[in-house]
Amino acid sequence: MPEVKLKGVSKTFPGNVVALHKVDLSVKDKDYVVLLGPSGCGKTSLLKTIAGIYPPTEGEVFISGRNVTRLPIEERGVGMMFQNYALFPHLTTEKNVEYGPTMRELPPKETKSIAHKMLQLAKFPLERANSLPIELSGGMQQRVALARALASQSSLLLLDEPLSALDAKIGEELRLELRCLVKKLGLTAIHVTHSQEEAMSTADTIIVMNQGSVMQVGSPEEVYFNPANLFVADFVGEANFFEGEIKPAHSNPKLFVRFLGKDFDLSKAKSSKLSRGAEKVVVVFRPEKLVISKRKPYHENFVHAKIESRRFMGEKIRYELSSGASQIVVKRMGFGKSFQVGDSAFVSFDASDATLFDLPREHWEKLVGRQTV
Amino acid sequence: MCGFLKRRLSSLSKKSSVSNALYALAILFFVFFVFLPAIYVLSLSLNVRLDALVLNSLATSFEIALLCTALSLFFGIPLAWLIARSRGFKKEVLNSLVDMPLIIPTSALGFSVYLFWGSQYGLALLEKGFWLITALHTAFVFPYVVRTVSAAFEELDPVHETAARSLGANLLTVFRTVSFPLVKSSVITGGMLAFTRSLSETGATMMAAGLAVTAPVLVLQYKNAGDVSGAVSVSVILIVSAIAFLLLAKRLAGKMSFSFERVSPRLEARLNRFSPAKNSVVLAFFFILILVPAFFFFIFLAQMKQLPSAEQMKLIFDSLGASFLVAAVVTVINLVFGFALALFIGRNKFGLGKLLETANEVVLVVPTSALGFSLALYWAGFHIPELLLIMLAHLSFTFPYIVTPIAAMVAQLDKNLEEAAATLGATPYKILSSVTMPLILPSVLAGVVMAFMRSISETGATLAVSKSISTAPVLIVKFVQSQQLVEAAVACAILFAISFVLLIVMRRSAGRKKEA
Repeated sequence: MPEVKLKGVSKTFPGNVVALHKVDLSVKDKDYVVLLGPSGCGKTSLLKTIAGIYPPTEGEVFISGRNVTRLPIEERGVGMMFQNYALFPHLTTEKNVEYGPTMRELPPKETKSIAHKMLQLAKFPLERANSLPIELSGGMQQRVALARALASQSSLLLLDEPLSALDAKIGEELRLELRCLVKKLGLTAIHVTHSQEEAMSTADTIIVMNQGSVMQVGSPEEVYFNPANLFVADFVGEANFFEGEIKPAHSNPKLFVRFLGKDFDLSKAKSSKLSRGAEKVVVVFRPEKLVISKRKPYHENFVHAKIESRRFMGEKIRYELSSGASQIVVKRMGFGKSFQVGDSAFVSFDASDATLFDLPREHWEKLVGRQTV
Repeated sequence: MCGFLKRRLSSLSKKSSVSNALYALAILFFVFFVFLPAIYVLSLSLNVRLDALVLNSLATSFEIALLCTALSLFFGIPLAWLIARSRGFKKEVLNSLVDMPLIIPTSALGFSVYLFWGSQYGLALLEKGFWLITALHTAFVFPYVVRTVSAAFEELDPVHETAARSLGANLLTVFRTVSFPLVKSSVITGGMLAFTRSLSETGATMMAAGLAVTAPVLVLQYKNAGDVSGAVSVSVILIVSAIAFLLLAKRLAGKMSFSFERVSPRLEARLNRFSPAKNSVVLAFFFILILVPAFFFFIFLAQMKQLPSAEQMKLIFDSLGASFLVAAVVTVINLVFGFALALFIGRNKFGLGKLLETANEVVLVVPTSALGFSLALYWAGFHIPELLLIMLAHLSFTFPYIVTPIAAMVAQLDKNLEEAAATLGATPYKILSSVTMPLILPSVLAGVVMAFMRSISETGATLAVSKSISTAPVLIVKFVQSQQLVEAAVACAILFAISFVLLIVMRRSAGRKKEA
């Protein structure tokens, strides 16, 4: 059964470009894993190292407990889907899918039946099996690429940005089908994407990468609500970042943090990433965990703010508010009372929804790539 | 004055009648100076006589052409693959080495190959005749095949190969089922080029022929013996079969397909282990059969340590003067008309693009000695001076070399760019000079270099129209025929040196213009 393990894998390209830096990783059998990160983070290099397209500069790759580090691609027995599908332009759809079984020298009858079965599984209309790739739409090509990868009958499926060439609507449809199919066939899948939405909706486990290293491994919920660091908090979904200062405790067990011009009791906040004796902190809130109201809340965890902008996004409305010099983003469901630009309001929160991080030494606004303070 | 001229051109170019008149001029030039002279002899088809000598010469030509094309493909495709897949220094070296024989004018190459294989100064392995001609033709068509095919391999997206490997195919199977089918059309183009060039080669062949007679050589023999009907017969059959071959190859290119089931992948996996050995064999073939013979005349010169007499040197320099004069004049005239015609073809005006493109291809495949003979008949009534007639002949067969690359580039050009320039207020003349021209410049330079080099190295057409004037390659042929080997070698060396320097200068200026 395919588990994938990486031990200290590094990949350096000529010109000292580090794509992967000492990556340790283990992918469980039958898990749907999504490698998520910004472009250039090393996620595709990692996938290609597993596939055998790139030999690692150091470290070892194991598939199902077998050390495959020195094994060429064709002997690894992985099914792979490429970014722009890489369908053979000179072969018909059917021949494309039959390619893998033919290479394994299965009898022609079996080859054909596997190809048909896989095309059906991928919901490709069989009457078009004699079309050349160029005659198919993007979505159809994607289905052929999937069928071709499945026809290799590998139980490890590698997907390199499989949906990035499709328009949004079709991509959304296909990613759900992709997941269903992987689950139905009991495969292990490793799926590379830069879209956090795609990752959230398909993954059992998300692996967030940045600059050649793994930042966090966890379920979509964990990664979203309990980010391991500021990078993850920023890259996955939207977040509010407030610079804060821990008030001296004076043998008081409570944790008071001053931000947005007020002192708040954040004893219940997620503060496990905070180092001992930290003074300067960053307080992180997801926009949907903040509440806006016209009425003053009954508790103390609120600030005054003014609505600066309002954007209707379908199921949600996204507000930008200003409080002092700070900007606050709040998302709330699109029904119920609505606020207009210029209204004053109260922004309140539950302390347990805050996550605390050490304030980085460098300009952290730059680190997370935005101006929030 | 210059500013006035530009404004005048700008305003003139707005009238479509003006540009249409220019196109018409280019087409008339093509029809009456390039196309019709090249195939005029076909109008005398009724007088063709098919005796054994004619048919034998044709058979010899086709056998040699097939053999050297097959050899070139067999060794050339792996070498092209090797070049395309190597990196850095190795690639640069291989690339320049493959280009080297292209720079040597064919008659010099022929002389050199003859020295290497056939004379007591070299290996003295082959008698003059069929096999020596084959060795010679292989040496000179090989680079065309490698160039064409390696360019196609370079353009392949490696992702298809990776995908095939991820599906379990070994490198040899990947090559056979994916990479090779994808460059199929370039292989056919390269093979076509090799075949037609071999079919048309005259001067160098004459040196190596001995008693064997190829069709182009027979044209000249008949012409020199004053047997016009004999020369007409061979020319007609040669031209018709070359055109038939062109059409056949085009047919084939569309139909040929490969199936991947037939050969066992496991067998290929085993064969794949011999890959390093295969590379050595291919490189050995290239060095021993192509490169060393091509440059053997330098070794010969070093052995001889003597120079021709002053009188002979004067002959050599006169012929060089004639060669470069003809090449320069012809290239400039062809550039003017060829450029206009290439725009016409590339933009497919009035749907005539395809027709004119095919007409150009026909000129390209017509063997040059037949072309020269045909052209001499075409202009016979006009009492044209000899040098001018040589120029007219060169004008005809070099024309397609300028048109083809430019037309291909124009056709590929993003139409939006020209339209964008028009929306910004540029007149058609301005668009041409400020947008189109800079973008297609590389192809213009490539065409100019090719046409110039073809003119410099041509013998067949020149011999077919000339009586007393010798261009440099013709002089080399004459030297060899009268066993003046030192004189021939010196002429070869000078011709090579000048072509080499010119080529470097042209490439440099091309490179610089691209940067600017």
